[in-house]
Amino acid sequence: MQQFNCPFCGTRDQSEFTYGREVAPVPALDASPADWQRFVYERDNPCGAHAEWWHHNHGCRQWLEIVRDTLTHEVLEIKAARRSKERA
Amino acid sequence: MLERRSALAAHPLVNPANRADLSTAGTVRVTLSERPTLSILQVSAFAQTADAAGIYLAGALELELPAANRFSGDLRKSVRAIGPGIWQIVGDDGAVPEAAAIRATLAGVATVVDLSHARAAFQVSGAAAARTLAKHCGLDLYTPKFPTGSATNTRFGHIGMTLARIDDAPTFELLVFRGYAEFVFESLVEAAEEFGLLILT
Repeated sequence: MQQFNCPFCGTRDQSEFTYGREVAPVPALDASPADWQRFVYERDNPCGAHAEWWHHNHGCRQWLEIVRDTLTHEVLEIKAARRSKERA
Repeated sequence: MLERRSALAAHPLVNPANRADLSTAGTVRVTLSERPTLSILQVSAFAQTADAAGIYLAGALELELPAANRFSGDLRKSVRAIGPGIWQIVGDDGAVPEAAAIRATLAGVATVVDLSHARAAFQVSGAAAARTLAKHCGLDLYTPKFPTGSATNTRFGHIGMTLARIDDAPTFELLVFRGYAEFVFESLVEAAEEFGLLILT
């Protein structure tokens, strides 16, 4: 099974995580329908490095940003998606 | 306060007469019990105030703040760090403060939810306890990966649980959604039977 090294919990089975979506800036509320169409429905589906949001729902319940190779499943980068200090 | 009752009150195996075929003639290597009247509070700090919440919480409980995925305190009163800015206070009624009191202490820095009625608690203890749990949990439950003092959210089969190792027997404590109590109990009985099981509930 694929495993992810959660920055809060350590290495855990992928079955503890739920895939969210690819990382992309969320459009502003008044963005055009075309922008929302791109955000909600359109995917690049690259072969290789892919930035993804995953939810550790059976662990620390945090959203994580994972850069994962879609061909080899190698995890290139993993970090918390939260930016608490910037929002403070 | 509402009276707390065992989540297994209606289960036939709670009556010792119904578990005659669960032989205890051989060596007992797993004991299984329920803690029916546990007090459980979950504290979730806001992202900007997690540090302050931790300091206030430790002061209110008179316990040291545990590191991530660890707990401090004892069976009577413990606090578990199960995520960044997320703590569970677990212990006996009376030893654990009322939700309202903790809520007042942490006003503006964290939310407090009383989970006492929402969870069932089990203890699995003995030489084969880790092997029993391994049938339903993917974590490496052996020392040094999961030593006494560990506490974390993980999975039990297809549901979530909060798992803690509370002593070197080893004894594990499972907190699961109360609606799944009978499923978890029966799964543990089935998993532990081959090792020699004693049910204390």
